[in-house]
Amino acid sequence: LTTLYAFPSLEPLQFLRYPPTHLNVPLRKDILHKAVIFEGDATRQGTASTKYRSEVHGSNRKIRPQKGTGRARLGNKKSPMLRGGGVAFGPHPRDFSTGLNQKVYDLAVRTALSYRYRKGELLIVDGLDIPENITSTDEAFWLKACFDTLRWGNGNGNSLVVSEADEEENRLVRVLNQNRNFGRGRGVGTVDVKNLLGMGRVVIERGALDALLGNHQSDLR
Amino acid sequence: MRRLSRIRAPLQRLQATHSHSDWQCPRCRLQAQSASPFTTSIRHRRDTKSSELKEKEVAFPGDEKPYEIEDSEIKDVALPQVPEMLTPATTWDGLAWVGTPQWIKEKRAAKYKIERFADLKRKVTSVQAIKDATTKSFIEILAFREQNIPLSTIAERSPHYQWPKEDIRLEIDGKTGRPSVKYDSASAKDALLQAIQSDSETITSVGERVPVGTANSALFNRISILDPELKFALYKRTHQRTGILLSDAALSKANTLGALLEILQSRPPAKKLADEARFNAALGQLPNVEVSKKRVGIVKKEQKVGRWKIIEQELLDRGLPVHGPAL
Repeated sequence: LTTLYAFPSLEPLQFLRYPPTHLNVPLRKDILHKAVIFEGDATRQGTASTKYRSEVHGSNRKIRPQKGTGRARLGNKKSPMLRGGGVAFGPHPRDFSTGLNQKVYDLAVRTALSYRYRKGELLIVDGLDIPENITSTDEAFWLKACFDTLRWGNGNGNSLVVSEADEEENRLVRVLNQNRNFGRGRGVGTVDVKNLLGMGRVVIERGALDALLGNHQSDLR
Repeated sequence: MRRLSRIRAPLQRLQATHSHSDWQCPRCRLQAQSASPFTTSIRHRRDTKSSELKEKEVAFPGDEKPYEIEDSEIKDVALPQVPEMLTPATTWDGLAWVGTPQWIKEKRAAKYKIERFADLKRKVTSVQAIKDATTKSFIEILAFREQNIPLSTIAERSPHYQWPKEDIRLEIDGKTGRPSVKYDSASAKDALLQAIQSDSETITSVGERVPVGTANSALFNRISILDPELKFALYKRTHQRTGILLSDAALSKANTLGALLEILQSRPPAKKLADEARFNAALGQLPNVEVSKKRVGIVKKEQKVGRWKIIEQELLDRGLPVHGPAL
């Protein structure tokens, strides 16, 4: 049982019912951990790069004789033991993404939502948008005033706002991401498990929640 | 930005006064002799226009001479009337500041005020007031049901009206457990329905105890609110009255009136252990527990033992800083 609220007055509009397999999934920290690590790996750029001794600029001339100098034997000056030489086992650009079963990831999304629901940090609203009479110069201020009134901002753990539309299409989400002082906005297509678990609360549109649950229930079929 | 003429003018005057001295080069001497006050300010610029050019100048195309203000057009501007209760201020002591960041913030906040469904200024926190608010809301719901008025309209009127003075009681049947509203007189029922459905709002004091007559609290606590329509109307009206917002998980578990009251009356868990000690008497009264607002430092620890005064005196005697390093 969940309550649908109006935004920004927070007037209860109606009760909504969701099956326990969607919003009352038992807590599985290991699955949440797997999902967060999977997302983190996929986010990595993997562009760190160093040069092997074969890639360092320089000749292959032997810099001192093999024997007779009293010092250690050395080949070319690109040796990793020398200053200015290559890196023996340094990083190279690579793909860090890992795999995770689709069903496990879907379960992780629903587990995160269920965890938030049980803690009372999941708020479902009918629509998230800045009123049309608010000009573009005042929209950031209006948003801050709104978050301060509703106690969703700084000092209250900040809030993740999830809209049904993309981040650029929803005005409130766009302004929130431009400021980032009291929350973060995401579209339903870009929100992930780490977003759902961070911040003080999740404020989600009804359509976005339905879409999110609908897109992540492959393990239930 | 207007260029400053202050710096150049004294230099030019200096050159002019010392134009005869030998230490000046011939060029500077020449400049000083022919120096005139140099400024790029528009108002000091010499009028270099010839008289012929001035005559040809027109303010607007088609006019033969520039526009001149006639005497008849000059009118005495009436100064704004100062109300009698206000006296012009001679100093700025006690006057309000305008244009400050706080003033701008308050102006904008008043312009874009966010209206909440529940009036949080009338938020109810006391246990008895919450119980009264819940009972009143439940009585209203039962009255609406008796009259076949849809419960969806229950929150359309403000809950802060004067509760009827007639005796209205909530009675529960001992056998069936069914609740019903009992009115001592016919006018009481009309008064209640009129109060709920009227547009007028009489402000009542928050926390005022109104006897609603809940006999047998055990039966009261067992009243079922499993009906989703009743539960929603009860939660909405109670939230409107008290300002308390319940989590969905807690609300879904509350299937009786007693359970709902328990959730409404429960305090939110304290975020800090220091705050917890204030509410939890047992924790605060433990002999080996001491709660401090600030972090206990070295000075506090030494003061507690009684060693600090000796340490402080020794430091002073040796000329060393008592609190932290000397600047």
